[in-house]
Parts: sequence; C-alpha cells; structure tokens
Amino acid sequence: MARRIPAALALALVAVAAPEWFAAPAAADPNAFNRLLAPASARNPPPTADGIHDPSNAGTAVLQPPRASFEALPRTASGNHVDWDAALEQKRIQPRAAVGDANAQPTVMELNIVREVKGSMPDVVYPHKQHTEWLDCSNCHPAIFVPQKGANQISMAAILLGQKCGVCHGKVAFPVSECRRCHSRNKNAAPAATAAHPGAQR
Amino acid sequence: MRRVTSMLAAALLAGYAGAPAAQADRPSATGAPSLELVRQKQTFTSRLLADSPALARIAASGNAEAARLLERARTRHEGALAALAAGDHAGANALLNEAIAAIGRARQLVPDAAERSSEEHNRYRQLLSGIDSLRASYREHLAHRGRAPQDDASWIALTELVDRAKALAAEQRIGEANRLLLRAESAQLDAFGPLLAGKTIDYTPHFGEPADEFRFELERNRSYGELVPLALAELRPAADARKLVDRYVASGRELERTALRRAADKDYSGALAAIRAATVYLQRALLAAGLAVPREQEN
Amino acid sequence: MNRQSHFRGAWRAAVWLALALITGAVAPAGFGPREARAEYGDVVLNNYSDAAGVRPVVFPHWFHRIRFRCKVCHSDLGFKFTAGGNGINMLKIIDGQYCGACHNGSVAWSVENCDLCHSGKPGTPTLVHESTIQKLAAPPKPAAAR
Repeated sequence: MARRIPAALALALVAVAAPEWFAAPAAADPNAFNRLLAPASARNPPPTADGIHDPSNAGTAVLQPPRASFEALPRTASGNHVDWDAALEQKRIQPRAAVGDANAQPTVMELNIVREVKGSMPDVVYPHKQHTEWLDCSNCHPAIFVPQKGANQISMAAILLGQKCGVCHGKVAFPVSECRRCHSRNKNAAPAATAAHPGAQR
Repeated sequence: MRRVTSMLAAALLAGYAGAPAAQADRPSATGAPSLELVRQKQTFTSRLLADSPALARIAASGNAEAARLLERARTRHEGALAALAAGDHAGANALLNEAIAAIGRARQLVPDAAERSSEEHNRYRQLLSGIDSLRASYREHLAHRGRAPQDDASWIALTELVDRAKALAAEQRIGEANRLLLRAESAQLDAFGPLLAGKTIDYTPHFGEPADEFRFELERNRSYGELVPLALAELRPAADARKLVDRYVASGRELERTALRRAADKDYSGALAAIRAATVYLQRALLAAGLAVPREQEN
Repeated sequence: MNRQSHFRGAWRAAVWLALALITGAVAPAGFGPREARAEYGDVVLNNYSDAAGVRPVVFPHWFHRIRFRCKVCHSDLGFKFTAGGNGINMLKIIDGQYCGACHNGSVAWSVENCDLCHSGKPGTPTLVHESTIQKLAAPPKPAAAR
C-alpha cells in the first residue's frame, strides 16, 4: 500500500498537467462509439493546442483560450459552438457598431425573404433582422445579392463553394450543417402575410 | 526516498511552470522577450526607418513634430542595437517599442495623400453602388404601390443627398461625399421602414409563360456551369476524377445545345426537359469533383 | 525478482514518465491531445510572413465578434471578405489602416506585441480555418491519392 501511493501520485501529476489526455483515452480504439465526432471536451481547444497557433511562440500562451470566453455564452452544435445571435439578443455580448463609439446603434431592418425549395425540404426564410444587427447594406448589396426578385441564383452547391450565403456561412458564420436555421418554414404552414412583390421577373 | 521526493518536487515545479499564463486584460510578456522576437522587431524597425517614401514625405512636409519623432526613433533604434550587442534583450525590446511608436506617430502626422485618396475612392464606389441598388429597390416598391417616386418625400430627400454627394466627389471632396452617402444609407433604411417592416417577400419564381421558366432554368444551368471550375480549383480532384468531371460537363453541354435548339423551335416543354437534364449532369460533375451536396433537388 | 526492487523500479519509471509528460518531452502514441482543430473562423494570413521570416498571423474572428459588429471592420474599415485579399502589411498597419485602426494603443493594444498576432505555425498557408469547403467535401477515393 505504502509503495503504491507514490505511483498513484505520479499518475495524479500527469492528470493535473495534461487533463485532456485523460479525457480521450479511446483515441486509439477503432470501435469507439464516436470515432470522428470530437467529444465536447475537445471542442474549442486553447491556442497552445489548437493545431494552428505555434505553441513554441511566447505570445501564444498569452492569448485568451476561447473556452474561457464561451462558457458564459449560449451554445450550439456547430461552428464555434456558440449561438452568437442569441448571445446578442440576450445582451451577453455588446459588440460596438462603430470603432470609437460604444453607444452607436445599427439600423436594423425587419424584412424576411422567402424562397421555396423543390422537394421535401422546408422553405428558406432569410431574415434581414438578424443580419442587419451585424452587417451594413453595402456588405451584401449589390456585390453578393442583387436586391431584386429573380436576380440571384442560389443553390446548395454555390453555398458550399463559398458563394452567396456561403461567403460567410461555412466560414465565419454558422456552417450549413444546421439546415433548420435557414430551411425553417414548413411546406404545409400557412404562409405569413406575404407582400406580393412587383413582377420583376426576368 | 529523499531522491524520489526531490524528483517529485521537481516534477511539481515543472507542472506549475507549464501551466498556461493567467488571463490578463493587457498582454504582458511571460518573462524576458526571446532573442528571436527582439531580432524580428529590430528588422522591422530598421525597415520602417528605411522606408524612403515616408521619410521623403516627412522631410518635405516641414512638420517639426514629425521630424522630431523620426529623430527619436532613429536614436532609440541605435540604442537598441547597442543593447542587443551587449546582450540586454529586455532593454533592446523596450527601446525598439519606443522607436516603433515614435515612427508610427510621425507617419500618421504626415499621411500618404495618394493612398488615403484611393481608399476614400474605393469606399465612395462601394457606398454609391450600395445606395444605388437600395434606391432602385425602393423605387420598385413605390411603383408597386402605385406611387411615383417624384411624389414621395423620402425619395426626393434621398435623391438630393446623393446628388450632393456626387457633386462633392466631383470636386474631389471624397471624405465629405462618403459621410453624406452614409447618411443617405441610414435615411434609406428609415424610408423602407413603413413599406417593409415586419413583412415577408416571396422570392420564389412563379412562371406565367413556359418561355420564362425556360429562361430561368437556362440561367440556373449557367450558374451551375460557373461552379464547376470553382470546384476544380478548390477541391483539386485526382486525374481520373477530372476525366469524369469533363465527361459529365460535355454531356451537359450537349443537352444544353439540344435545349436551345428546341427553344428556338418554340418547343418549350422539350427544351425544359433537356435543360433540366443538362443541369443534372453538371450536378454530377460537381459530385465527381468532390463536392458533397445534400442530395435533394435544389432550387 | 525481489518484490521490493520491482516496485522501486516501477515507481521510478512512473515518476520519470510523469516528468517527461509534464514537460512535453514525450507524447506516447495513443495518448496526447489529438491534432486539435483551431477555432472555427480563425483566419491564417500568410501573404508575406513566411518570406519575411516571421510566423504567420492568426486572426480570431470570435474574439473580435464579441467586441465589434461585422460592419465595423468590413464596411467602416474597408476589410474585404477575402482572406489574404486586402494586401495588409506592417506599413499599412503602422499608418493606422486596417488592423492599425484599432491596434494603436488607444482602442486596443498596439503593434509592439508582435507575437500576439504572429502566432501561427510557420508554413501554414492563408486560409479560413474549418471553412465548409475543407469539411464537407467528399473524402478522396483511396486509390486516387492527391
């Protein structure tokens, strides 16, 4: 017994020094339950262990580990694993709308654009409200989206290749693995009061 | 046992030393700066001090403060070189920081007019194209409500703002023009409010004429065609995959030609069938290139 | 083998292993952090860094998103939506453009802190980390290795 204590102490030392090694003992198991899905404990790794930052750089250790920041924010299943829109709405974050002015407010536009999709996928609803909280009109119009019916060809392929919605979604905004966040209007739902658009079909 | 205890102590110390630095509001070095860091900073500083366009600007401006700051940067840099030679990394680092701050302020006191001007011009173009597209949209919404733009107070006010901005731009007063355009954008959004707030617009295409639907499908086909080189460039498929991609694209093109022929003969239902099949081939080409698209018929 | 010396040997090995693991000298196969992926949306910028002999820049979107809305950088400050597409270099930053509009010692810390930005692994190309195109592409067929 007396001799086993020091060995246990040694193991405890290792556990203290490198806790993530003990969180993932199944790394070598070919029949692990979730082989490719990273466990929650491996998400948002600190800069010294994230594979991009150089751990031998002194400054890397000074950078804030994302997890410390994200713990206080609402979580989602993808991307940063943070629901940024909810965080904004709940005022957990207060990002500025101007460099020097902490009180500047964006002009938010409440307008939804609906696109029906073929097949059984629910229709896409694009909400200006959530986007104009963050972005200027000129960020998207007209360079990425022409504000005119029939003027924008959007397909999942285009989005995945980084065009249209994919300029941001799948790069810095939530990725397209969360289908329902965009495909949010079920087909059998009564359509909301739609403003019939001027017939600008081409 | 004593040896083991001291090993344990050493291990514990090593564990603490390896612990991540506490989060700080302001970044602080975790100890003395490394030689690598100081060398890189010194290289950067000497580059700054050798940037002749900036030096020429500062000299030509006659700005005494800028000249003084430049001189301070030079002396600090020389001091840093001496400190480096003497092995004093922390001292060299501090002197270099002062040099960088000084030369930065000097440069900002005498900014590069040409660079500023081209930035402002870019911003002007971006803002103008943004406001133009919004105004076009606003005009359509007004027309749909049976209102002529010249009867709408917001439209008149906005037009006046944009015209004033254009006039300022013509006089090369781009900064002021940009500020006006920002005000115009804000005013335009406010004008949209009563028209659109809380509404939903349906962008789904509904076709009255088969010819219209054919045009739509043709455009859709073209946009998929644009995606193929993009996919090839980003996904870089292997040679045999590329051959497959080329075959599918060729089949798609053949069907597109068929579709166009049929459309010319006014056989729109035949043309639609052909162009849709052409698009399916392009989708297969994208799949062969390695793009894993959700397998649902897309809009 | 004598039971006492067996334990002593094992105990010594365990402590040395602990020491080695703590100091990072050894990462035994099967253990160790997996090649973890950086934060989603991190942008690695390496237009000029490799050639200049400094580490590439890692720009964390998440950290800045908490403090600024997208439009502040992408409209007010002129950052285009393309990683590496703005031609940012240290001279422009020193002149108060792009990153230098805030990292100037008054809005945020200033550029003397080289290694807080230049913290990427040398040789990493310019990219947006974990972007969809990297993740949702079908895996290459085994026979056709790139």
